[in-house]
Amino acid sequence: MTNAEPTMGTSAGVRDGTPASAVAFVGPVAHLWAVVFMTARAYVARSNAYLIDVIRWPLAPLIFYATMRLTYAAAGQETVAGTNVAGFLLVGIFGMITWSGTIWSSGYAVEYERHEGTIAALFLSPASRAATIAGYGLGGFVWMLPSFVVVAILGWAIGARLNVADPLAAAGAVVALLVGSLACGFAFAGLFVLSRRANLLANFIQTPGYLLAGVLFPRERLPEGLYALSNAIPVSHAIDALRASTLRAATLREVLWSLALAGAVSAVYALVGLLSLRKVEHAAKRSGQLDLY
Amino acid sequence: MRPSVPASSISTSPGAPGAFRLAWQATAASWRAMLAERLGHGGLLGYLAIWVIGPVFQIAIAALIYGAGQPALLRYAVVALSANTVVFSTIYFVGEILDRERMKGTLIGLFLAPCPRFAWLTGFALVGTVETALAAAVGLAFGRFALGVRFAPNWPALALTLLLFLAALWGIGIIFSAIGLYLKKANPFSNLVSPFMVLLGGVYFPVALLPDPLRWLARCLPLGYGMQALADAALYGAGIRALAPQLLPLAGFALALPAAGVLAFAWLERLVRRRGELDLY
Repeated sequence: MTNAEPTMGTSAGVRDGTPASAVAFVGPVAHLWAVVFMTARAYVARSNAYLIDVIRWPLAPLIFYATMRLTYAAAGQETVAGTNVAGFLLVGIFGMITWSGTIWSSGYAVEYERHEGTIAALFLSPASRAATIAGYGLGGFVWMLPSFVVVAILGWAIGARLNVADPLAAAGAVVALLVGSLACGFAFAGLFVLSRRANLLANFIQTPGYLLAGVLFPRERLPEGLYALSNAIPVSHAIDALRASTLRAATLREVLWSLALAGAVSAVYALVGLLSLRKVEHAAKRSGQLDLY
Repeated sequence: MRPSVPASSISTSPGAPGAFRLAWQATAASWRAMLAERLGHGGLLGYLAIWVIGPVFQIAIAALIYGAGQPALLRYAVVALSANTVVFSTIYFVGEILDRERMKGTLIGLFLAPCPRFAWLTGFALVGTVETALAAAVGLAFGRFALGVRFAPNWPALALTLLLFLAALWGIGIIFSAIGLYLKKANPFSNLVSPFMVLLGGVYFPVALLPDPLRWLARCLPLGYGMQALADAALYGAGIRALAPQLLPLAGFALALPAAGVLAFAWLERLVRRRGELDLY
């Protein structure tokens, strides 16, 4: 991307009739941020268009959290992995919300554009594809904020208590969770569209994602083969780090290995995402296939 | 505005010559069309992955939560999560049929088709039934071979329970389908009600283990009765007499809910004819 892109909606150029050469330009960083911000804003606005969507998104994780808490109660388990069940599940449900948000926002970004018939315009615009997907991801996180809030309130009400010794460790784990989710979103965005089965894939990977990331039980309970597979999901390491730092008072030093693993696996996903987006772009521009189903 | 010609049903009269053949053809044609659509959506592999293997992951999650310490709950969860595929199909398949057809632009055509409504609805729903049966079978097989759950079915009790459970769920599906079409947001509506059905339906554990206020609510639904009766009949060979506390309320739901479903569908059809807004978004 060059720094020669005009700003959108500024006073220069089109609006006041000044010559094109007088159009104001912004730098690449400002342009990138504008794309991210406007995409996120559009995503949140669209997602809030129907009341039923505003209600159902926070309700689903809330009710699921209650169901899983009652499942542990039915099994007579009040502690799990050295922490109380409510707290353990609270962190897991946060991971689950982030995972779902990722799949249906950044992961589904290109498919949304294709479905709405705007993908050709998107690929012909000077907007960075990565910025667009990041915008969807950011919008997804903002859209999920009410879910985090209602789940946190229920967690507090049923006895989930945090035990943070090192705020930096907790902050690092939160960042790892968000970055890991975003990296997955990048990878999914291209792969979903290239598969031509975006909805099917998005629906399919949700529950295996919960299973492998250990959102509802400690990952150590997984059979060996599945445990190895779960290591290939960045969110797994981020949730491990988040649980350790917020429930068991782990320090930054103690969660550093989990954070490093989350970062390394995220980098692989981001790379896969960039390659698949390049492939999508090729399909869009060279073969003109993307509008076809 | 008064219509120039009074609206009358264009469904074939049940007694008309060839009506049965027509209904049968419509059922078969709609079954073929729906099956082709489902397979075409993701291919055979995708179809199996999303609709048939899905319950295995949920059973695996339940198994990892219960571990080896709660074999009775694990056995219950295997049966209930397999049976939950019927509930899932009720919500996401039957409950979304009408709105899905509306979005495809074919709903008006279906309403105006010279065949009984139940014919094409049955054809569509049959595809869901086959999917559900496959998914439930895969879930039970996973429980048997991967988790070592042993079954001791009482076949008459199991058959009667299934019959009553399916009748009650069919009624719920038709009601949800009418609500989804009325809201013109069937899928978000499905996503809204689905978590409550899991919580109150005795999917991961029997509703008897729910805390009081939630248990009262759960007793107002057919799901908990059905799940418990299916689990007892499939796992412990419980007979019809032993299952009476579950089967009697379930029978009430099996009578009332389909009737409510038919009323909801008739109300919707009247609304459709009066307002003519079915293909609007």
